Amino acid sequence: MVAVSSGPPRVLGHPRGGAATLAFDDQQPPDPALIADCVHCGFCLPACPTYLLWGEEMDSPRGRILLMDLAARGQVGMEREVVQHWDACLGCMACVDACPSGVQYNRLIEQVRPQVERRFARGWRDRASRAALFALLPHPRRMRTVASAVAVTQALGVRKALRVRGLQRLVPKTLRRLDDMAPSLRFAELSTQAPRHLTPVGPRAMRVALVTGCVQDAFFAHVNRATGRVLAAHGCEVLVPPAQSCCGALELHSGRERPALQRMRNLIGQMEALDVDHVVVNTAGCGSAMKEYGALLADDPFWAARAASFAARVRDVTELIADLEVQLPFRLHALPARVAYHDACHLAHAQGVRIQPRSVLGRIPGLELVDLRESDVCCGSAGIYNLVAPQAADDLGNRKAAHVIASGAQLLAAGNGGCLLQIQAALRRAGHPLPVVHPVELLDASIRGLPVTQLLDGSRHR
Amino acid sequence: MLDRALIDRLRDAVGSEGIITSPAAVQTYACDGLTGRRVSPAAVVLPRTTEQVAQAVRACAEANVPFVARGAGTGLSGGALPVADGVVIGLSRMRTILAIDLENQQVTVQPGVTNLEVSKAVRPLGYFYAPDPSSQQVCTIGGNVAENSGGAHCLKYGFTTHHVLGATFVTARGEVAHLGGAVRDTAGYDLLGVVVGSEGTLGIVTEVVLRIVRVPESTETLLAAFSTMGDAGEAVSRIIAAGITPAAIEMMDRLAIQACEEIVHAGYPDCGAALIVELDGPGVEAEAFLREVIAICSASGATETRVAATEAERALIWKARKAAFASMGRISPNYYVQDGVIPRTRLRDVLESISALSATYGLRVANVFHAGDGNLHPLVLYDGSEPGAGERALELAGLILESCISAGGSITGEHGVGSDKACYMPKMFSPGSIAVMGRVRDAFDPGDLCNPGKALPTPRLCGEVPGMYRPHAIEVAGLAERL
Amino acid sequence: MTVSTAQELHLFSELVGSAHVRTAETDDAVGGVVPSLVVTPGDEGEVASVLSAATARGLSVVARGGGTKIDWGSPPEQCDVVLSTARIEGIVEHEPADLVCVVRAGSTLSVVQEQLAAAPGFQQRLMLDPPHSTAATIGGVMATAASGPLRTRFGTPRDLVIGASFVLSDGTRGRSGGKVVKNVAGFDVAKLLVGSLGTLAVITEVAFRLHPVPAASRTVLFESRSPGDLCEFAMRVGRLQVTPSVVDLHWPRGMVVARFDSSEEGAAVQAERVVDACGGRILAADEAAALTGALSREPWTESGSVGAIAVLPSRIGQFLSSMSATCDAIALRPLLGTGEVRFPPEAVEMVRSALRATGGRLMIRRGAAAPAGEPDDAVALELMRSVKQQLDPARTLSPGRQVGGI
Repeated sequence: MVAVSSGPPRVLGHPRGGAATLAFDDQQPPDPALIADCVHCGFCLPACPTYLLWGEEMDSPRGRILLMDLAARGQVGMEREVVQHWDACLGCMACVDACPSGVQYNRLIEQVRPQVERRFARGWRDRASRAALFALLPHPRRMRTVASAVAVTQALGVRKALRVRGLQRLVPKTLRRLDDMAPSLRFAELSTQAPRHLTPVGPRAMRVALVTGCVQDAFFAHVNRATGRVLAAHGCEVLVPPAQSCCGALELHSGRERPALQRMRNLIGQMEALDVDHVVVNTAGCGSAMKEYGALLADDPFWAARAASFAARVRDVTELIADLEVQLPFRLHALPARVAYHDACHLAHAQGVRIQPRSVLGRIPGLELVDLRESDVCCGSAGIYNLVAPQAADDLGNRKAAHVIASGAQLLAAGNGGCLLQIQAALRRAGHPLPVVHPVELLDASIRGLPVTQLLDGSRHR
Repeated sequence: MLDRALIDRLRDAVGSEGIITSPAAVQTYACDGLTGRRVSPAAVVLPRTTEQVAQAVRACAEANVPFVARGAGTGLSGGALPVADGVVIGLSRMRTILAIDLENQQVTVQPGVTNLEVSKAVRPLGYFYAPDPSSQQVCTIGGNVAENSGGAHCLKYGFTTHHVLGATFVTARGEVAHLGGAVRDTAGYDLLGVVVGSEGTLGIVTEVVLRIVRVPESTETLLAAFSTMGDAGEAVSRIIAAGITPAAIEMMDRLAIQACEEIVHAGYPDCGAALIVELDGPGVEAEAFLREVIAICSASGATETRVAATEAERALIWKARKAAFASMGRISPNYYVQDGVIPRTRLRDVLESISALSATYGLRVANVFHAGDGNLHPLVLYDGSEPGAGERALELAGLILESCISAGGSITGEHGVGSDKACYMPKMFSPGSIAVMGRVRDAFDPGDLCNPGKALPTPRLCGEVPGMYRPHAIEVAGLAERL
Repeated sequence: MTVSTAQELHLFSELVGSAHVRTAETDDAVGGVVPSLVVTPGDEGEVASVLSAATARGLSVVARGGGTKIDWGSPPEQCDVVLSTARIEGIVEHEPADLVCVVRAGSTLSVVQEQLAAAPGFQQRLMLDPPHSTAATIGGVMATAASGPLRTRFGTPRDLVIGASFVLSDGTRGRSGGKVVKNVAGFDVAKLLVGSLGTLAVITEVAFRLHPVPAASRTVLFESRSPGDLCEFAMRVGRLQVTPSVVDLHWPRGMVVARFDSSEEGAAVQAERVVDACGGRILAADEAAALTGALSREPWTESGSVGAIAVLPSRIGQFLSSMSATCDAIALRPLLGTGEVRFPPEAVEMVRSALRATGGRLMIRRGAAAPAGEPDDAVALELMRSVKQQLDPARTLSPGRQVGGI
């Protein structure tokens, strides 16, 4: 598996305020105490996907922390030679798990990114791409419109025709990539109203609210519906508020702090009034951000307590299902298939949720969970990473696809929409377009007695 | 600053994607696992093949610029500390396992392959690579060769030098030699034997043929708790005297156990000293030895003995031990890990002197060590923000080292001399011995460009401590005189 | 006696005492070259003065212990003085609880073993069993890297040495390593000296790691007239979950001997496991002792050329099949691919080409013109020359005996 990229993508831009200015301002710069926790032991290196790709110190957690230290001391400025390495960080947090000294790298990179956004003037192309992405992605309604358009073009089979060169050039590269990664969509599904309330099957075990997301709702509406059904089947009364705000994860992980925090407040506002035991989410990236709301809004006197109480109720769907010891009022139908499970970074590393999805899949009769090498190495999706750093993302995606193919799996399951898109695209490139599904879809199929062939040939999507 | 011409030659050797010159980026290579001293190199090159390494070295040699090889940069003696205005040659991109020859029990790897990767590659086939330093998931084979690394299991299985059969070696002039090989008993001098453990000062290894060993049929791991280090030490002596060769015997004191427990939660008992004894071999043999070891521990005053019942339990016991150094970060803002060896029979009195020194200096010392071969790792804990604390910690560590030497031991069991302990070499070796080592070095690197200033003492580094006098090239050329 | 020899005899007598200098006889020849004098210094200090005096006068010196392997290596270009280590003997230190001993280089191996075994309360030995051990000295074993059947488990002197003291031709006295097994301080010069054929330094003291003498032993004997079957048996033993100390193959006796040293139970179980899985039979203790004794002298017993061979273990079968007719005696360590063969002197080229065909090498130990071996790699050879140039620039010590005429 030879990587095509040999280093991080080049970043264009310059330090705002000129070369002599300090890298960081005083708004929550990377905490020197956290930086000092790093003893330079290097245990993080083999866990870091960018170190796996490029083998250079600057693109390892240890190197990135060192750059933060140099920047904090004024020994380097917010130069592009420094920013490119922070930008290249996927935010996968595999290093946090690997670190024996307990360095909170996740907090550090979260503190660095807004600094970069404020203190580094990106090149105009980069700015335009990012602006376009963030004008689209965190907006569920806009996303649904785009998804419908994509679905129509897919149905009409005119996608190839639309790749007219002149036209293409008008669209920023990042959006073109987004288009490339779009899954097969059914217009009919997109235009149907999603149920806003589901009654539990059998006695009510608890009441939950389901987060529908932004990209998730556009490209994975079917996963949201399967989630609702599965929760209901397990005795949950499910509330699905309409017109939900995006949770802010994408912007948070890209350093766009203010808009991210605003979205968080919106979502909390929409959900907190609901009398529910848990707020359930089926996308790892969102779930991990939401569990952090308390910490992220800790300095906001009006929101701190509300955010904390909200965050405490957040659960990933597989977490919840695994913990529910419910005597299902029906039997699970067999789904004889070999499934490889990919650990989404924001589920495994950020939330520590590894065993639960596997145990949930283990309940499905006939389903064989095959061994997937490097199952918890990032697939390269990483929020908008695969849109702004396509070569690096593709290298990681190809590495993941090769492992999936080698595992002999017939299906790939992962608990994050971004991962599903990324891995699906990589498998397609490798000539092995295996179906990719959310674990909850498998459980849903098993509950409903859907034939496994429907999943294997992806026909439920066409 | 490097000469433009040299930078161009290096770029020709490794490609523009293989050379790093930006001032910010080269600073990330300024130290290895020993963070006390940092020196930024002028450039870093990251070759991918033996030929690229050779070309890079040739370019440096012809420009008379020193170079330092680097693996994963996890060494604890500053062996990969760059030379100012010099080049770092990083082997991290040469990380392919080239061949696995099970029939002949050999594996050929590039130097950037991590130690653990080798074992992982052959474990499913029933073999493993025996030397297992605690940093094995990140440290590289190239680094292991440079330091002659050991690990907990070297008591029974030996060190890197016992497991290296051959190597492709780039000399300090940039020529490629093949030392040893897959077939044993190469004619002539055992150059491979002197290269292993030479701390990267004789040349750069770019391919290594390693010997792999059968995974033993049975492994028994015992955790025994004692009230004092003395009791635990007594048990170790009796185990050895009984003619048992365990695969590993490790000891940790109360402070070390506390720190490890904070991270790993392996459920170690709260005690004055804990022993981990691992026995492996054919089933019956391992079981018989285990019974004997348990009896010896009890007879030596063990307050508790626990045998790992599953693979997971065993892994957890070792996880705690292997996290020992890094876990010090939890109980102290700073720490300095020392590496000294003493004859096993002197364990009790050296431990006593360490605790006396610790009391005198008012600095805590946690003890973790390979009790089976007398290799101590006292961890001197201090708070760097206190003025003078760092220097006192270093002083204390130095005195500990001197007591190791006077007990008939060594200044380093596995971390190497590097830049850290070069000045202690004259306390362990006579001027004649050091002169001989210097001559061996001169045979390989007459230009003193290959990781200069490491392993052997130099007057500049060591101040008044006498070391060999090596005239600088400028002096030799008669252009300047040392005043 | 020539005038210069008389002068030299006087000179060395001043350094070591006239009782310890004599004129040489034909028996003192080294590789066919008869020296003028035999000098026997009493300690390391005298070794140093003898060597520096010899170097100052441009004399060549060959160190000799028991003389059992004095003809290993090419004949010396020049040999004026034989420096005997006979008086530099005895155990300097033996700490049984540390399993370490320091021995003077002129000590006879068998005497050392007896003394080590006599330590009260401990049973331990140096796990080396090279040929001619009743006369071979520690220094000679080091200089030739000699080993025997125990190599299968314990390696060569290189794997057992933890430190050495030595004297260079200019009288510099040095030491490397130490007295503790785990030690990475300084360059491992001792490794350079192992197998150096006395061309770099005169070894005066060696520190070794010791091993406990096992409680019990079991020997399995497998007999066959088929070389292929013999190799197959050995390889299968190598794949089983057993830890043999010895796996030796002998031809034309048609035997593989596998010995297991452990506790009583451990040795018995391992031997039984081998017999069950691979065949052969377990020998009674006296049978085993007698056989071991007889085999230990192979293949040196009768006249003929003797060579040490090395191939990949996987090619042992091929080698054995091609040489079973040519060689008069073969003693191999199949799991390592090393061993010795005895053959009529005129067959040397056949043996050499058989080895080349299997990717191996031959090093003559006795008989035919005995070059030290062929250099494998030109760059490595240059490094070896540099090492020689640095440690013995005057070429005092055994000049021309090493590979490439070093």
